[in-house]
Amino acid sequence: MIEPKFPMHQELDQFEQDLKSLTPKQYPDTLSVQAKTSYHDAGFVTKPDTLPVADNHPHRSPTANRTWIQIAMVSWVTGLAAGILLSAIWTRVMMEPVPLAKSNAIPQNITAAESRFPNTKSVLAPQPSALDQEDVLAAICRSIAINSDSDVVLRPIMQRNAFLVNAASLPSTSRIDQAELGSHPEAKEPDANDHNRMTSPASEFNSLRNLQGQRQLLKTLLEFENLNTI
Amino acid sequence: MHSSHIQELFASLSSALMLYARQWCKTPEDAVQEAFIDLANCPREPVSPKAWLYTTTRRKALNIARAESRHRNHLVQSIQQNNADRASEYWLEPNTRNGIAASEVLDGLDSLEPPDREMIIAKVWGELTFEELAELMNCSPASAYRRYVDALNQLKRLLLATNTPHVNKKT
Repeated sequence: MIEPKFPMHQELDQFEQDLKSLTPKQYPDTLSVQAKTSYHDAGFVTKPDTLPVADNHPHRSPTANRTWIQIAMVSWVTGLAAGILLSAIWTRVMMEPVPLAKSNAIPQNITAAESRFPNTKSVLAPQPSALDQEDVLAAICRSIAINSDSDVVLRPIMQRNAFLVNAASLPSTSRIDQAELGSHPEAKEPDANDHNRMTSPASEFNSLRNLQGQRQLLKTLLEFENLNTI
Repeated sequence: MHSSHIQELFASLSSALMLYARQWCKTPEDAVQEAFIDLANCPREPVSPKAWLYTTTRRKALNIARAESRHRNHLVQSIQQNNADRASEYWLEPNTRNGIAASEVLDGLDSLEPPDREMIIAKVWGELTFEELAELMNCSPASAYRRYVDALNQLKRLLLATNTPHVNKKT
């Protein structure tokens, strides 16, 4: 067909028509394996009407490429899962506590000061004898007495006790009371309870001594954490 | 793109496209098929589907030809067998009415320059307009017209040179 815009020579037009009389080779009904696969992917046909012939170019098959991709993906995922599992097992094994091979009881030659550290002795470990416990407790008490001067809690109590001991050694505490009252003339008169407390320094001294002993014992007990061994 | 339109194009152009793709590769069916698949997957219908199909078929055929050349060392025997088969195969149905020998036309087409051969196949058997031919050849319609006329005259001279009696000897 000659377009009006581009006129063709009559003889050339005839030659063109002669060429058109030669029809091209028809598209084959039987496609190769590759052609059939792609044709199905595009949705042109739903059912093959002929059996596919052998494909001479299997390396260009998209199906084979997809298979290799799937194999590679499955292998990669499997390897990743195996790696995670092995690392988890290894971490679990390394973090597992080691069982005790022997008792960590305090050896006999340990010093008293060293025994003040927290006792991690196993419950199943053999109990020390009562004599050993007594020696350890005595050593701890001695160390407390030596360090009491520098103790923030006990030092004020000890100073007050010393003052009361000196006061108890005097014939009477009335002078002290009068002096104290005289130095503060605006102070009111003490009530009966205060009078009784001030007039019995010996009983207060005894109670303070008991208090001091109780505090020392309490401190000893607090520092000697394992009460079962006391 | 509507499937009925694709079917119409396939019925009218598949044979000419296969003849067109035969210039570059040994499996032109694959090139034509891939071109139609691309057309079906196009989000928008091309302005000129015929020219688009010819352009895509050419690209697909060149890709197939590159793949064939890459594996030439592995397929030497297969290529030799294909060449032997190609000698006996026909790409144009013989027509006894006008007496033009299809084999001579194919020989004449193979003797042309590739752009000229492309234009003749696309214009004669693909029935492309000169606007579509210009889009395919990336030139103006007037240039496509001139080049086509020149190529057609050259092919006619080649056929006359073979002393084919049924070809019009007037130029």
